[in-house]
Amino acid sequence: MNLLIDLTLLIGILAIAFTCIVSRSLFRSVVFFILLGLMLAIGWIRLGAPDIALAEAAIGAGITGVLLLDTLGHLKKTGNLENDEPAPSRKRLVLAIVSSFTLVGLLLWAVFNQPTPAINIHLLVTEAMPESGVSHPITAVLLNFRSYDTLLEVGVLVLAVLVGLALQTDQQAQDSLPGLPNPLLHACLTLLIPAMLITSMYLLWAGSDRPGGAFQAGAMLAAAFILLHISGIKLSSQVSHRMMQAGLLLGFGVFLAVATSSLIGGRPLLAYPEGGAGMLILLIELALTLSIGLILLSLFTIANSPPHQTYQGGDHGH
Amino acid sequence: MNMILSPIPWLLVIPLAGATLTMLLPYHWRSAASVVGIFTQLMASVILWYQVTHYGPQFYAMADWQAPLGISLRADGLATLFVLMSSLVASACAFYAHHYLSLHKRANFWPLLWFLWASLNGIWLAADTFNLYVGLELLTFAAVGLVAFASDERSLEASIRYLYAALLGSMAYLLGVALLYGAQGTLAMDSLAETWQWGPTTQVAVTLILGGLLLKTAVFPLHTWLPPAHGGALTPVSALLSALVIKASFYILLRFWIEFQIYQFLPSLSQLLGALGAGAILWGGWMALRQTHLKMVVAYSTVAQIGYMTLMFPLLVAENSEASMLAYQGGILMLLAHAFAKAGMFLAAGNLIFCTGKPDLVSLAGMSRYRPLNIFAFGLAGVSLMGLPPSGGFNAKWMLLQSSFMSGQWWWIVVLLLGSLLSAAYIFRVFAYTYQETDALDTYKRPRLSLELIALSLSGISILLGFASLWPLEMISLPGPVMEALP
Repeated sequence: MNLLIDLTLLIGILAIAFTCIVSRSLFRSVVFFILLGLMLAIGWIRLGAPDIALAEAAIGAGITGVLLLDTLGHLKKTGNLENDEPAPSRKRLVLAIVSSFTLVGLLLWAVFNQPTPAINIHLLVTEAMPESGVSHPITAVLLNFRSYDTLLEVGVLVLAVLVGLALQTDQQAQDSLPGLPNPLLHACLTLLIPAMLITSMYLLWAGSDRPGGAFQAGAMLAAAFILLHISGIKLSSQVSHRMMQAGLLLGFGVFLAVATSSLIGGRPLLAYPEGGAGMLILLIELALTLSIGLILLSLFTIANSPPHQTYQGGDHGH
Repeated sequence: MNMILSPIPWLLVIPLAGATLTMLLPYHWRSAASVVGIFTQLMASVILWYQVTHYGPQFYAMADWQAPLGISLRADGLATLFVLMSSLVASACAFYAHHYLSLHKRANFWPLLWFLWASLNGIWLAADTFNLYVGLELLTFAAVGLVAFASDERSLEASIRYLYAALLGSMAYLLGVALLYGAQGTLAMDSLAETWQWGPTTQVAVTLILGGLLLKTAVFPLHTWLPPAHGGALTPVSALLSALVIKASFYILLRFWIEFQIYQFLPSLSQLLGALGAGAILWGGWMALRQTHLKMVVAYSTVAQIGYMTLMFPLLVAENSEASMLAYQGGILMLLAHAFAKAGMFLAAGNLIFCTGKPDLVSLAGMSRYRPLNIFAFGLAGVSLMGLPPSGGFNAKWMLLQSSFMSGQWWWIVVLLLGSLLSAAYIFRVFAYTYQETDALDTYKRPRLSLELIALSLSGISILLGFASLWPLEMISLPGPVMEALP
């Protein structure tokens, strides 16, 4: 039975990926891409990696899908999208197929010949778990054992928004999303948004002892923000851009401050004080959730905001 | 070593905090805050240099978890030299940018620069393969942002191209690291080197990592993204990209090659790298000779210079320890001289373009008479790039030549000599344009003296390296993981 599920999943993933690439219409490609993300998420669950499955579904399928659809809408509005997309040239297609099959072949060869690892890192993780302040090993790795990587990764997210904001300053004429005045949609929102917020907080809280955590919770929060944004309730008109910018940087700032505070106590960078790890990790994750939500929302809205709303910060502000 | 006195965490915290602060502060304060940051960075680099030369290589366990469970940082001679190099070049470019960019542009430049700086320091000090990946990601996004920052259509297109190339490179690198992790159960470079076992998995991993890093370093024939990105960016950004950013992926490649002793087990791959280097020297030189825009000449010169650095790989031969040592030292010296010379040359080129108001070579006529200081700065950098004595570039080429003689690989000597001729040709071609006399009076704009002096001092350092080569060479020969792995 399980084998049957796995085989179906495998064939499904391959078929969807192939359709996504060869589809003539970009819209179809994007839809298949979102579907691919969801199938991959199921695949990760089958592989026993629910944390990755959550991230893949929320970010790989959800947020990326929204961004792609949004880009598609822009292309259509600006008239840069030709309706009859030319088929990819045969040479390129052959090259792409040959190189991907070579890569897959190489990877298969590498994986099937994989030696038994000399170092068993799982044992090291299990041994160190009691001191980590949380009981879910993935959260322990992300926010304690290898917190330095996570700090830099959050830096990458902040940087992505920063680049978007830096480019936005001289944007061509923009059309802000008008918002949909559909009463049914608004009625649904009153039910959906609280549920999404609660789910987000649950994911954050769950992270300490089971799959979940700041990234998944932040993605869920972003989904709620984006849904509100699309239906015409805009966060950017509710808060000043100064506040928005502070919100974007809050997670990174708190993380960096906690990291640096340990230096003052004479401990290495990012080392939590004894017994305080759990609380500090929760604090960092809470700030990160809000910031990740806002960052993902900003990546979505940057393309849609009219020029006078640009977050230029500084002395031109209010 | 007392943890609190170690400059290693500060080399990362200051730029990261700098990035955060410069995003939040009002426009006028951003430069002031950055200047404070730049001086603390320079100070931290010098303290690190002092500690490494007096107490040997420094190790730092992040979050107090020892590798392989946690992430370790390490500063050996090589890493320290690179920290010093990037601090000097980045400071010079930052001061240049402060005078060169408008208030509005500058305000967005600072946080991008600080992220770039943090990622560079992170990469120099990293001792963990996945941490290197995160460093590369941060570096890529900062660099792409800085290219796009010129905001004209051409630079936007160049930055998107650059983004795709760099992301493809990152993905290949990450795949390779994942395979290594699966095979050896660790990400830390020290424990990887200890438990390294050759087999299909490691070979595929090394191939993927090599491919990814070559693409990111823009080694011929994977260089096509580089000239439009480096040539089209704003001047201080071009200097940062050519002098520092491409060196990061090269540095990772070098560490892998030596520490995991790939040069011993796959000598044919080393020869292939040498062949690519030779291709880069000849093609880059030839293309530089055919450009009509000044900054494109300088950008193609970078393609050619990367080739010289790549030539050190086939010269690292297991059987001949003396030749290997010379190749290692010559290659690093080449990289160091290029960092200063190329930064100086890009800044001088930017000044010249500012004077004439046009980016093409033809409009440089009369510049030698009217703006001699800039031509002098351009020329000094050119001396080092051509490899004329006395300069860092000359000493480096000389060491690579000697190493080729010793290991009996005469074909690289031919490449080195041909490459020098080509470099001389494309640099003198620029000079020829500047010496053309015009009847026009000196109606050209005049850059600030500080801009001219910054370009001149960077070029000057590349010449001074010819007299003080021993100092960096002693530094990279300090005991450490690289020295242990060399034959």
